[in-house]
Amino acid sequence: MKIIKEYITGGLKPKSINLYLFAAFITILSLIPVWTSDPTILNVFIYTFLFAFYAASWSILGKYAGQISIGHSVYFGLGAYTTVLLYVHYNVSPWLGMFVGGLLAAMVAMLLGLPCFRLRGLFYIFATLAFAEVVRIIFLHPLRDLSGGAEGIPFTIGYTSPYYFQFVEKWPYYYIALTMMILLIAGLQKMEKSRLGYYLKAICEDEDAAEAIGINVLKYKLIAAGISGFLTAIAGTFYVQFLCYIGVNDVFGIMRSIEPVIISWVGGSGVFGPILGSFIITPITEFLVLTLGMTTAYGLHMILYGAILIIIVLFMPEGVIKPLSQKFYIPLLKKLSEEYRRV
Amino acid sequence: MVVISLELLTKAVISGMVLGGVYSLLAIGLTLITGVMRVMNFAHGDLMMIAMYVTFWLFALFNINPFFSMTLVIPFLFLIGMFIQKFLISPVRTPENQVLITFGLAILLENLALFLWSPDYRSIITPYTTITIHFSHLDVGLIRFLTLIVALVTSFSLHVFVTRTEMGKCIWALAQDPEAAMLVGIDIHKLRLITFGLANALVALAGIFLAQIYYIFPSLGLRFTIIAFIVVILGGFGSVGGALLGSFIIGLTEALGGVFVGIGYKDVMVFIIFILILLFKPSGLFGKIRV
Amino acid sequence: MKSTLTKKTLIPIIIAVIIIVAVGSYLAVTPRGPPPVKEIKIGAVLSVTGKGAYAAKTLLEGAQMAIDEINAAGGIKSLGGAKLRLIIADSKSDPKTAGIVTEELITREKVAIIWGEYITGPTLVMQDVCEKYGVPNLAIAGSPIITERNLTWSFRTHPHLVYWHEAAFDLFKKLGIKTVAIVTDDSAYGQANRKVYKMMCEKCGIKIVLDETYESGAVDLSPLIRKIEAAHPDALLSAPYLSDAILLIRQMHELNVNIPLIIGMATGFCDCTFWNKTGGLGEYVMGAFAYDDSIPTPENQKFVEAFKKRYGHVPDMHNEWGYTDMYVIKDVLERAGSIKPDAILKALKETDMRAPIGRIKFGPDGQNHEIKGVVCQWLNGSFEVIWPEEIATAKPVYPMPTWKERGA
Repeated sequence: MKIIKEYITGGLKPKSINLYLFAAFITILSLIPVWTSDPTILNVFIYTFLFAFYAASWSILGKYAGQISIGHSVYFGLGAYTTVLLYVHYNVSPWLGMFVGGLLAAMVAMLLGLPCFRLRGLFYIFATLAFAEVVRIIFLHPLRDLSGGAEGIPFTIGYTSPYYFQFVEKWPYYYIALTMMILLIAGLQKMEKSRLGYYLKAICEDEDAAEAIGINVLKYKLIAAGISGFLTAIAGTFYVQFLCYIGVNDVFGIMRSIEPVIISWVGGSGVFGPILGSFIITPITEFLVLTLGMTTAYGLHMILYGAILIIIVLFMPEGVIKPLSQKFYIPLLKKLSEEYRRV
Repeated sequence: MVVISLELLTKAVISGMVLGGVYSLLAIGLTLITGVMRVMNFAHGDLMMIAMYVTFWLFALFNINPFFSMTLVIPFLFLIGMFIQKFLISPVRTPENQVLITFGLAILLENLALFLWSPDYRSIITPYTTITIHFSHLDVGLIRFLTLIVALVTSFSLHVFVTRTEMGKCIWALAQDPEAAMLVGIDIHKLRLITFGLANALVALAGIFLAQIYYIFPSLGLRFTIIAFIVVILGGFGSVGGALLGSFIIGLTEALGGVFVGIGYKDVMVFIIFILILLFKPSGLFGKIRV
Repeated sequence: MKSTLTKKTLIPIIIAVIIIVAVGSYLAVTPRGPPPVKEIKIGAVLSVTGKGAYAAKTLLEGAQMAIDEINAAGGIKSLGGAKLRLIIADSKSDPKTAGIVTEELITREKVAIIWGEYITGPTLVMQDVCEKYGVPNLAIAGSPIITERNLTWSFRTHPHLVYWHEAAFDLFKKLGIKTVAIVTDDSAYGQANRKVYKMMCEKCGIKIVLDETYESGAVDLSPLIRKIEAAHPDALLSAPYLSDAILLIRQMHELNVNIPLIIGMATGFCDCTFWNKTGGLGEYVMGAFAYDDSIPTPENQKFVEAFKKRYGHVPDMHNEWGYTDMYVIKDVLERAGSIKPDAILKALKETDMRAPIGRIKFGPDGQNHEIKGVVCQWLNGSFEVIWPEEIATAKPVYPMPTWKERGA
């Protein structure tokens, strides 16, 4: 007993502590559907995972590559529509359609990046918005027969079919979303330590310096854009497969573009920033609707939402992850690892 | 297919210019904010919405004509502007956070208006909101035309203010180089307060005119915020002339695109023009201040 | 170890704790068992915030009045005088939120019926949720697709827009309309109307000289109005929401464009405040729907009187829709004698009652096919029925006097 205690308080490496913490995190989340079948709680968790995934995908371009895009709804919607249309017209499984949508989105992301990456700051940001709106209007008007226009296309099949990526129960969606999020976390951590990650960091710090030391800035930004687009398309697919409805203004709307940005910024930097951001913003948003949104104080819940955003930014300007990690994570590390204490 | 006649073309151009006038009042305020303070104020349109509601209530409850209520609404918005700058914008350092906080403010204002005044659409009808100026066979609404005139006058006045007056020159200096301005002894905090207040006052002016040609409801803010940003980015930050030119370009694109391509596509035309201009002139038309 | 508890980190944590405690206690305290049958909950999912907010407000005006009347008259007699309670959930005009709150209303609040939504997207999602749980749903959206889906649990008491169009096109035939301009907005509602307009024009052999879609909320419709003018149609066919309706008429006056007939579908031109908000410029504009305050049913006369007394203006179609739907629910519950979904479903299918708008009886697809459309026109500041002739309170004025002739 004493040996174990000694081992725990002294001998653990920070790396294995992280692993244990992460494992605990996954385990707890995995057990939730076992513990409760309350649809609202599961709904909130599913959307939390999904938007964590989406925000993290966005952050590959928005934070790691430093190109803040408020037009990611393009990839979200392209992924969603590719999947649904392939399914509706050619009976293709959404699992395959998702992949096709992802590739399409990645190509569009890279094509868009080519001219737009030389725009700086606000110019780039609004160029992405402009492009997103153009795509939305194209799907709304000339392509309305294909896309269902503003009315959209409901496509529930009413029974569970893994092949068609539709489940009557919530738990399959839960575990799929959870797995997606976990895989992305792991992938991002790998990316951070990879060559791509280091180059992106350099580019983000000082683009001109990076160019000067020989990094092909454009190439790596395009890679980041492609990956970000691909993953966002996957998020879009999951979203519509869960909702079993696709509408132009829903998947290509401005809110879909703004949400990952808010979540990532509120969360903070790093891999866990967007994740944490989603774990805060998504439940708050939904619970505000479920509590105050169900009273006769019309609009009060949205007033609070705006106020909460303001308060978070005023008191935690570097995102939630900074004070949280300082208050809980670092002391925990210090306690469990002598090695970390020495650092 | 619509027959392209000279008459139709002329009418479309006039519409475009007038619309540009409406947009420019809105954009002048924003270009001041983005140029001087490098802040992306996402609550710009919603602040105009508040101005419009105040104008409306003064009219509906006390029968105060919008042109008179200007004397109340504009200072009110000026004060609100200073308040926002002091408590929300300046405590926050980075531009991303400023965007986030103004976005939160936008949501708060929109839903506050919904909560207080319900989602009803309000309109201000006075004897002259229906007057039209007829010029040979061209027709322009009086208020819309006035908006254009006011926009031109305001731009000119602002230009004079910035280039001739002491305070104006300080604001310009601040826009060019904040550090240098500080070194020369300019009180940047006070100046920022005044600039934001001024920008808001301009937005109030825009709102007073818009309230008479459009209708008022809580969610109108976002679309105008986006339009204002497009114009400002197009015209170059901090450039009043750029804001004017940008708004006319956007107004004309909307009008001409609306007539000759299809009104459903007017926004697409605007965005395409926007993207094209940025691709050829990445800092905007008159962009002197790098962001 | 130095304390990292500063004021900066403390305040947000306190706020977070407050929120968690509030939400947790709400979840813990809200009962999960079957509700006591002293009170029957009806789940209303509407766009309290978001772009459908105005419609939600007008619908709720009618519904609230009905609920108050029903409860004052003793509630549901067959369920021991149980009172009706409307629980309003905000869908934010967003399909995803609509789905979440509907599920919450069904599983936690255990509502007997889900009422809503008004916008197509959220309605489609809500229908799926109700179908999955086997909970009756009264939908309010106007698009045909709602009942074309042939779902078991979803019903619509009021005729969808094809009926309104049929009435309008009957009138057009009588008036001898040959050419039209179709102008619709980019919403689901606008586009559904456009589809039906085109279909009806083809059926009736009317030529479409212009077909344009505008963006709802535009500041300047003059390019569109110029094109309409250039196309010289006999009639302008539209389906604007109140906002664009106001702007359209005001700008047509401003630009001195005269079209012999202007018509809109439900909302917009049919809104009871439309004439006032255009300062009277909306005179002679027509609107097609299925309801008008002058429909000569006894139920309607009672309803209009009571509504005028409570709200100070005559009811429009949304007010009536909300009102009637609550009475349909009352009727259904009375006959079901239980709040079990199957009993309610059976009672719904057997519905045959009279409401201010007319007869409520559902076809096998859940749609009420009994009510025909009416066309009304703003005459002397009042929205008069001009078609069908049997219930008309005024004769149609066609062509509309020009702005000059009106002295406007």
